[in-house]
Amino acid sequence: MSSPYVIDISNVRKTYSGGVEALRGVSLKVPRGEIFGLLGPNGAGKSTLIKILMTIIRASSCQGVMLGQPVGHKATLAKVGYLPEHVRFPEYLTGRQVIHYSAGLAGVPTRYAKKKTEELLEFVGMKTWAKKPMKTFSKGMKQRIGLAQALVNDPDIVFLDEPTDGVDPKGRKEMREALRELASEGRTVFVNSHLLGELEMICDSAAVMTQGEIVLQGSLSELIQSDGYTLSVEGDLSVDLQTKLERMQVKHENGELTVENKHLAQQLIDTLRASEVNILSMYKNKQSLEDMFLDAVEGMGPGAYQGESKKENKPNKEVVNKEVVS
Amino acid sequence: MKTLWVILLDSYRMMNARKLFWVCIAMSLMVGLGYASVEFDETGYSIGFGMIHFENEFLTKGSPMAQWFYVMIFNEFFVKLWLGGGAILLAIVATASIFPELTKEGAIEVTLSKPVGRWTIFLAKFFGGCLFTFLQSLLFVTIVFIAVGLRVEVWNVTLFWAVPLVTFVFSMLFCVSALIGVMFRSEIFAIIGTLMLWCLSWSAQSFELIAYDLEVVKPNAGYKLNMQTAQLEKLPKGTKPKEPKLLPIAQVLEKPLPKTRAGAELLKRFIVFPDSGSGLESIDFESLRGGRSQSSVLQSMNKELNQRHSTAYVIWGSLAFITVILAIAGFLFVRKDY
Repeated sequence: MSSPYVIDISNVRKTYSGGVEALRGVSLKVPRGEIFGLLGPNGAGKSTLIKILMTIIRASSCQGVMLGQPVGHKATLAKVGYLPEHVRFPEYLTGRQVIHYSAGLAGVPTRYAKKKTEELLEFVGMKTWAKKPMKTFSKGMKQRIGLAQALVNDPDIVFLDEPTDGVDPKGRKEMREALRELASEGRTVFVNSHLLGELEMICDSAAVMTQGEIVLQGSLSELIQSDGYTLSVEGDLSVDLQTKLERMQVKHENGELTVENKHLAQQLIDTLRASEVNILSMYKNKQSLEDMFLDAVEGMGPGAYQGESKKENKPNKEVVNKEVVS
Repeated sequence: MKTLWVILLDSYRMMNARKLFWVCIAMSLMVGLGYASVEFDETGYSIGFGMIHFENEFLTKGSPMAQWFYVMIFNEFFVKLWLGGGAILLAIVATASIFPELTKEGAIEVTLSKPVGRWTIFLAKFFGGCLFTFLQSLLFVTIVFIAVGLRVEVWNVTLFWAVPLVTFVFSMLFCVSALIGVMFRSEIFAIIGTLMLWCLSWSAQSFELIAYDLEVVKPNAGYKLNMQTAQLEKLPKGTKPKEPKLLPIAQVLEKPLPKTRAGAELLKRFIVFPDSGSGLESIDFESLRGGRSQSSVLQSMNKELNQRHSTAYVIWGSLAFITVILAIAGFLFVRKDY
């Protein structure tokens, strides 16, 4: 039976000459057939990690597998697609030629590559532009062709490094739809981005990386966990009721009452009804991906790890290295 | 094999998209047509397809002298100046961007992320660059082949030796361009570095040629060059040649460098024209300029000088240079993080 993870790596390290530690023992598991987001501030090491998996950068040390083969196994890349950040295609090629060229390098049989190219041009909405040279394309159009070339070999896993960077809102929406479609076909989509809102809309699971380390990893539903319930009520609360609520550890602010879990929420509702207080609304508090991200990287500076002396004091958070992938 | 083809095709497309490629092709075409424009008739010869006519009682259509003349201008001008110089210079400039473009951020990632070994990519790009000179010289030589056939009725297939030989000479320099391109990712550095190497190589070979002439060829023939008058003087009988002093230094300098000059001169060995029957085969442009033919002693000295290096020495020596430089460049390309 195949592994549930397309990527299962541990202790990935990269130290550049000069002593800069880009990656400091990264361990990561990416579930098969999901959209996986790797988040992190600029310079956190996200692109370095992808480049190691794509054999563009050599790791100082790396254990584990991608698609069941050791990282660095060139032949495995025939089943991998990649759209790099700031991708630059030869300006003299047309959109169609870029996809063909990519297919040729990936070893896709010529006849199949031709058929696939036409399908992909349709898929990314570039069919009518296929004969135009790349130099006439906008950033968004180049990204679309970039996505198409990454898919020409029918990859099991697609790496997209900042795929919506510089793309207009319409293009972003289309990109999201395309990624969902890929996942629905059973492919794993690995998205590297610092645009948290984008990822929140599409990711099934995610990891947060900062200063060359994974500080948080899990499925999105668990990462963006419930943070209690809030009820808004009508009118002022009596002193008696306020005392009761204090004993129940209910936070009271601006006519809104907040409790930590669903049991306390039930008790609160009962208490409020007994006191004939009108409940206007009730909702489940949800931490946004941004909140989660900021919480995870709190106290960490931007860029690569610069050594203990330069690192800001990081609070001992519960979330650090918490493995919640089910 | 398919990958190699894909990268070569891309190299061709890259060249095709560059104006400089077409400028080079146009220049090759013009130089070739310039040669083809020399015509002979019953009263003399003309250039520019009959535009300018010169009356000459010897250089007439079908005369052995006309055949000699036509071959001589090819050897003296088109081989030396165009095939051995101008065409290669243009090719160096036109191909200098290949490796800097390949290794540019955003471009290299796509190429390296494919299931293709880095050595394959590197070598395919190198051969792609050589393809430029190959096509350029093929076009030129084809025109010359047809021109020689039509003008003097000699269909000389040995002319096509020029295609691999010029490509070979170019590859001696292009490997340096590749090394600098991989190291610095700069087109300008690649051009400057390659031209510097070419100059260095040319100077070292010229120094070795002069040293060999003065210290070996002339004393062996019983002559010495008077440095004051620049005239040859006969040495007294029984004078033993001195031990060469400059030649060993020149050889040390010349040996590790690519034999660009000697490589281009190989064209004369490989491209062989049948005897025109004019009896003028030993006369070259220098003799014509001097207004007299060379003495048999001078001819024999020149022959010894021109044949001091064997074809194998030139080819294997240059191949060793190309291999070493390509190995370093390839190693850097393969080991580098992008």
